[in-house]
Amino acid sequence: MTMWLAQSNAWAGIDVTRHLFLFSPMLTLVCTMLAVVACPIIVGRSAKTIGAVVVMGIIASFILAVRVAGEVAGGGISGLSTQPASGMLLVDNLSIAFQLILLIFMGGVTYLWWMGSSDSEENAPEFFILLLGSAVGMGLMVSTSNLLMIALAIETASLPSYAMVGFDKRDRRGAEASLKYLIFGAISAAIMLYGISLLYGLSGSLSVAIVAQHCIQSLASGHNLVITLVALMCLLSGIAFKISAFPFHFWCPDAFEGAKIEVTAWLSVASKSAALILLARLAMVFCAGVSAPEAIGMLSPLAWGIGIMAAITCTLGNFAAYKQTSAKRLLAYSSIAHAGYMLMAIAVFVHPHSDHGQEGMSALLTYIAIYMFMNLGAFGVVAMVVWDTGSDNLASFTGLLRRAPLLAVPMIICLMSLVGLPPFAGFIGKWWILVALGRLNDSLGWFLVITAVVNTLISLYYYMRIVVQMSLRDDGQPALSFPLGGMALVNICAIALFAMFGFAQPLKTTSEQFTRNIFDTTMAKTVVVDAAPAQPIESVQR
Amino acid sequence: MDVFIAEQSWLLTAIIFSPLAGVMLLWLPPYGDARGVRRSAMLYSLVTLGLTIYALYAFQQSAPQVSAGSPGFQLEQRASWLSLPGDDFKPAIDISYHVGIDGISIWLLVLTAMLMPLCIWGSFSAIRNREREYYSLLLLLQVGMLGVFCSMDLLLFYVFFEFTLIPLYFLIGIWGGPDRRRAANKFFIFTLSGSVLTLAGILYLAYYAYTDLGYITLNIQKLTELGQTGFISPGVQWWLFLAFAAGFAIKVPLFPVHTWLPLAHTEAPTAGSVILAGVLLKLGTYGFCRLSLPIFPAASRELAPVIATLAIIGIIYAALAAWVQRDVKKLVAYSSVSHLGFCMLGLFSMKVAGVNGAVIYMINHGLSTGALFLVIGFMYERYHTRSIDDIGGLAKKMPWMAFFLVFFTLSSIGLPGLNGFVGEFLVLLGTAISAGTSDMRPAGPLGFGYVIPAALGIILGAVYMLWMCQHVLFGPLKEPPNTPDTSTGLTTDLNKREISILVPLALACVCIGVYPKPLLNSFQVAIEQHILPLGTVYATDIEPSRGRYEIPIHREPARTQHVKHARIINNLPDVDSSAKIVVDTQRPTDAPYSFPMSQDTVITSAFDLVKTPGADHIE
Amino acid sequence: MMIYQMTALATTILASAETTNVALHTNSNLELVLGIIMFTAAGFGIVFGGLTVGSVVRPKLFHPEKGTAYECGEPAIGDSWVQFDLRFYTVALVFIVFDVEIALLWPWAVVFKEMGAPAFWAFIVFFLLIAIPFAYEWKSGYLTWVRASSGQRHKPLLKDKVEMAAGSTPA
Repeated sequence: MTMWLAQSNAWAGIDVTRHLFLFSPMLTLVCTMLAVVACPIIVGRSAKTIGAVVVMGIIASFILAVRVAGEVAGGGISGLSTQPASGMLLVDNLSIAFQLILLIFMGGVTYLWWMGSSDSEENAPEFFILLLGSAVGMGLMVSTSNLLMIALAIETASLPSYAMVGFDKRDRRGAEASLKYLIFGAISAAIMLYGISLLYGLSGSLSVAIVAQHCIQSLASGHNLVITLVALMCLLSGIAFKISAFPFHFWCPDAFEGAKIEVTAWLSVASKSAALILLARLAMVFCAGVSAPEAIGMLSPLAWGIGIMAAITCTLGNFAAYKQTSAKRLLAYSSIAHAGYMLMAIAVFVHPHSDHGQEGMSALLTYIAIYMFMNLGAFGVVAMVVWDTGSDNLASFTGLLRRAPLLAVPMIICLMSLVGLPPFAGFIGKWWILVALGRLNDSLGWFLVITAVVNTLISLYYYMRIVVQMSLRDDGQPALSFPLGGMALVNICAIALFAMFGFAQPLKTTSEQFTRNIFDTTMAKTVVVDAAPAQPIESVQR
Repeated sequence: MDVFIAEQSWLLTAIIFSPLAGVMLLWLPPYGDARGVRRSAMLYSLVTLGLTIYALYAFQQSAPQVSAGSPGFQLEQRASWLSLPGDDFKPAIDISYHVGIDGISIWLLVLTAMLMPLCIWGSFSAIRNREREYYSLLLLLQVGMLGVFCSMDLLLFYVFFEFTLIPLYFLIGIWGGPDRRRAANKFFIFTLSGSVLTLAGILYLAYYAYTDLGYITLNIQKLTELGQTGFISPGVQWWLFLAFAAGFAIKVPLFPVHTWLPLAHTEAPTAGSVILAGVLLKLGTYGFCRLSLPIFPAASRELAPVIATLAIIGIIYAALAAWVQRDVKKLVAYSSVSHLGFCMLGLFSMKVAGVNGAVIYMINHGLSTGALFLVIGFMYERYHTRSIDDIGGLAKKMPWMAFFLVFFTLSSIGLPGLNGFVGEFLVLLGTAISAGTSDMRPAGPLGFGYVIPAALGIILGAVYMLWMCQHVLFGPLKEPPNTPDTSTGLTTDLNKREISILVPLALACVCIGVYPKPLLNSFQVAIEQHILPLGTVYATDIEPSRGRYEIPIHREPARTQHVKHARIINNLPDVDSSAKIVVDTQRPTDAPYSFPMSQDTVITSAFDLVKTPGADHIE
Repeated sequence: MMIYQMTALATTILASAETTNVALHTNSNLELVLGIIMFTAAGFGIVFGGLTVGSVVRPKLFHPEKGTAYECGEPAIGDSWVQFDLRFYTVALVFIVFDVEIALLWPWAVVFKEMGAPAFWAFIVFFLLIAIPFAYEWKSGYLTWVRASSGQRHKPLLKDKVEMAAGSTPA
């Protein structure tokens, strides 16, 4: 095929087959979307059929992603261009790692949907088009270091999310949540685009590596200082919206409460972790470009900025969760708090003290993998309680330990893991982040360690409210009926949390392998040199 | 035989996780009825006890090695858990699943394994709902407790330490008394708020150790070595001691943070109380003993008067508080606070005798207070009240119960010939001689001044315990209406099952009281090796003389490229003062470095080491 | 409105950076900020200035006929706050899809000769991406202006038709 393509000048020098292969997981998802669209034309709108098509698509995509992971494991980056820096997309260990997590999680969400909605849902194709569309968007978010592509990917991920939140159009709360989400999303997207256009105007490039070089120059020299800072803030705010970090978190509880439970689960993990990895990648490229001693001094305020944002985010999330009576809303605030913990890991490698920051990056990846299981389990149980009782109020959980022990025990495990108590994997996730923070061994590091530890204690209180409701209160209601498959799902999550605690070392080693060569600084530097020699800003104007 | 014993590395892991296996078996279908569940739970706890007794035997078999001077623990097993290799950019991490026992932990292990079947047996008639969950939680709790006593890695210790919270929380919260929810929540939040600070301390300690060793480790022995060689500076020790104490003091509980304990005891089911008093409180004192004293010796010495003062306030205050209780169980709960104060006093005398007394006090308190809770539980099953005002003169009606109540009361207040006396005596002795050097050890921080109020506490203890016995057992018979309740098949006096539960505890009390030597010897070896090792001999302290000297020398840290500890030089006036000693950095750090010295060798001051090739190597 | 302003600003900056901004060249982000402020002021000035000037200059002769929606004399029915029929949006969306397709088809046609077969297949893929959703829309009945108000919502499926043709009874 390459030979055949090489006949044309436009493809010269590009190994198209390899590139198509590298992007095959995401392409498979796009094909699955097409298949889902084609289903109503050919075989009908049956929810089960659509679900089966989607599951096949996810499995195919997963298998391809595993193969791609083997392909890129050796190292390096593959941009879809002859020049790595100008490529709009890239595939590396990190993006593949996230895509694997995303696909596993999407399998779980699809399964939840299958149990909860496949009997009553009339609009299955539409739902899965949106789900797959946002998954593709998230997959692209982590596979790019091009500003335009970042904007496109965030929009691709966001637009279906808005629609998914308000998917049930008869539900007024869903509609309201969707509208709020949409307005917040549109405004932050606009702010981000504004920042991107400023950055493009300053540097004349959309590649983050080159943009970073110019930003660092102007920060170091005081040249265009204000405008650069404003532009970076604008860019950051767009990503912070997806992370739901303070002060862009307001949409999160409303959207989560209004959406269907499987959508809430999807947004709480996939959307946030994609944005976190995107931010991590930006921060990484940014820091890799810093070599001048005077520029290194500026990383410290940046690290403090992200660190304080993280501290406020998790403290605020935890305090706001205190008085919630809706389990979904409580878990929404908990997800804000966890976004705060994960942001701390990003503060680690922005910090000038960290030699390379791989610790922070692999801690982040480990946390995301663990967080996925914790939230899938917790939302799974909430979903089954909602299906049975029709309400996600904490009162619905009364006496669950007696009424459905095989739901309550995994729920307790997931909640204790969210608190970060041993012997569950949540402890390991927190531990690696704390180790990375401790390694900074300066005031920021220990400030964040203390914040995280105190927050653990604060969070205990509201997670315990669910536990108390399930185990210590009982109003003698009859035993709960729940689907056997759902029970299996949440119990697998609980067992996975145990296993990830016991096998903490392989988990961490794997995530280190997945984050290894993205920290190859020589790569980042050659990229800058090849594509556009670092030049003073004046010369760009010509 | 020795070889065989030495290979029993699986033994401790088997002991720790055997209750977990029991829990899994408990949920298998065959035990459908409550009776089957009860009996199989009992059986599984007996299996654990059997394994523990075998471990005791194995430990005794290998004990000669200990007395021969080899440092370290017995029956060690080690598996990588959070270890990571280092590279150019980050240090190696050595945090492993590492278990082992020494002379202290083996007996605490035996205590834990022994109390559990008795608790389960004692719950046969008391617990009548959701029994499968109840016994599962008891066994899970045992996993945590056994794990703490076996851990040789600080993080593993912390994990087991925290894990004990969850089962006990549910035990109190589901099967407890009327105010159980508040008690459970208070217990959980109090204990966890202390131990999260401990976690921060653990992390800081790991990084502090890293600056010396060049890799991150939480191996307790390694940290002890660092603490004992004075590597951790006193200021840092001070903060770390406070961080650790935050977790342990709440668990003990020490005076100002003890308020969760009486509530938790009063509301907990009988077995929960027994385990709480018998073993869980010991996790706090064990933490002080195993971690704070050896790793932060300077801070322990500095803060010992504060801790001892709090302990004494606790002793007196809790004794007075116990005196005015109308609820028998609450009275015993306050007596626990008082007794654990003695334990802390003994530990912080920083004398072998005092620590020895404190450790045996832990065992004794577990036996006699555990037994008292059992007796009170049996009484409560019959009368549905624990108020001193409602019952009285039971001795005539229940002679067996009266016998055991009096017996364990006497044991608890320290009657010579019973176990309590040994601990009390040694604690007071250790405190009294603390300031002196009569035992050829450095002077400790406490002194005779602390003995007098503590002794007052003993007198008060005798007063309130005997006062309680008098009101409950003697005088005119006083019973609530419709009692004793024999509807559940109980007899008026203790039945055979209940007597068989109490007899082993009573026997243990007598044995320790009459012949405590095996325990004390075992503790002494462990204390001299691990808790209060003799101060490190710095090179400057050694008298010039002929001979072979053992001097601890820290391996050169790979990253920092300089050495902080004592150096040895040849400092003869007429010899070039740059004579050096080459240290083989490939040697394991556990082995003290020894070298021959001539008569001319004078050790005076620090000097640089010569770096040998390959010194950057990290294991 | 806000988004519009931002986009205008962004465009301004881009234009200034790429073409002739002497202010940037001679340094000082102060001047850049000044430039932004000036452009913003100009943006606001043109809009509000025009309205203000208009309101000052124009004759103020009110007449009820002038206030009506359609000055041609057609009387308005109801007010303008009615909900538009959703079908308009559907048609508009379909139109936009094909509009964009044409926009892409044009450059493709220009380079088609040089690129040859790969270009053909590339466009086939793109065309499928548009054709399948269009077929879906068609099949789902969103293009039908007057949809059946009751009975079956969707037209018979392909396989049902085949079955019918084969003579078997439809499910």
